[in-house]
Amino acid sequence: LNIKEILHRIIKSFFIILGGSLIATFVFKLVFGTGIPLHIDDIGALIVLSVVVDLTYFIFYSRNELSRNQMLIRYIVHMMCIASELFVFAKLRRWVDFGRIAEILVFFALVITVYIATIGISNYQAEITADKLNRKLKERYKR
Amino acid sequence: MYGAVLMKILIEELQNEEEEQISIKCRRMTPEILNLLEFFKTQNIMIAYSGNEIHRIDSSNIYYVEAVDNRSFIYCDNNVYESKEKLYELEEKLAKNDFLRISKSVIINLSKIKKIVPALSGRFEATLINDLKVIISRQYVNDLKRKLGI
Repeated sequence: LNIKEILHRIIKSFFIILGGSLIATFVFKLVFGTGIPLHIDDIGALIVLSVVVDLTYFIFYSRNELSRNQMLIRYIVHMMCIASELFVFAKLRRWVDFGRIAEILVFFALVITVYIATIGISNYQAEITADKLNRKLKERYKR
Repeated sequence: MYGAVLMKILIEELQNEEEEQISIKCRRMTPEILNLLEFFKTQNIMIAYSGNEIHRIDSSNIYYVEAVDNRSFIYCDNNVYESKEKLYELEEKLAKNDFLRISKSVIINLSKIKKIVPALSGRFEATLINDLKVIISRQYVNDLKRKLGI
């Protein structure tokens, strides 16, 4: 992806990441009770976190078109970077009790869920575009 | 004026659904009319090479054109031909038909696309009616949408 595409994607996904993080925080609180109390400071921290996570999209920067395998590798690196960032944030903000394995596992599961959901939303939008293109092709060539 | 032919030219605007056509009404086929016919016939013909053979390929039979190492290749149903022209020259020639640039190195015949599915990172994959698959780059998706009126 080139710079223009990266910036477009960063702006678009910021809101998806922030929304996903808020939902994940809520779920975490529901499961453990002692999770994040949603204070205004924490919401601010989530916004900062979303920006930091969003900036990792620069991993996809490339002057040339990336192949499928190159993309897959970058997706894996991207996910690992995000997980690291989130764990650092969670430790700094004391969102997770790192003495309890269950909390770490649920936190990790939520990170993966939000990540997959973000990709899922992008894919869903792409599916809609593909459907529109196929419909127009069908109409145009009366297939 | 010897050889000059006065001919009435009629241009009729059609509704969207009607097929565009050129009809010639004449008493006999004069060289001028034959030249005119030849002009129209060769509008969609591409000259391409396969080994030492020269081929005239109707653009409607082309599936896609690809540039590899500064050489242009024309892909038809079962054959691949090489063109002496650059990709951008072929693009200009084919633009008036249903051809569209879908990546830096590929021009595709839209009428040969069977279906389009999303690929990773905003790209799409077009499956052609001979089941070959071609990638539509992210940068060219908007051009495709525009061409198809989306």
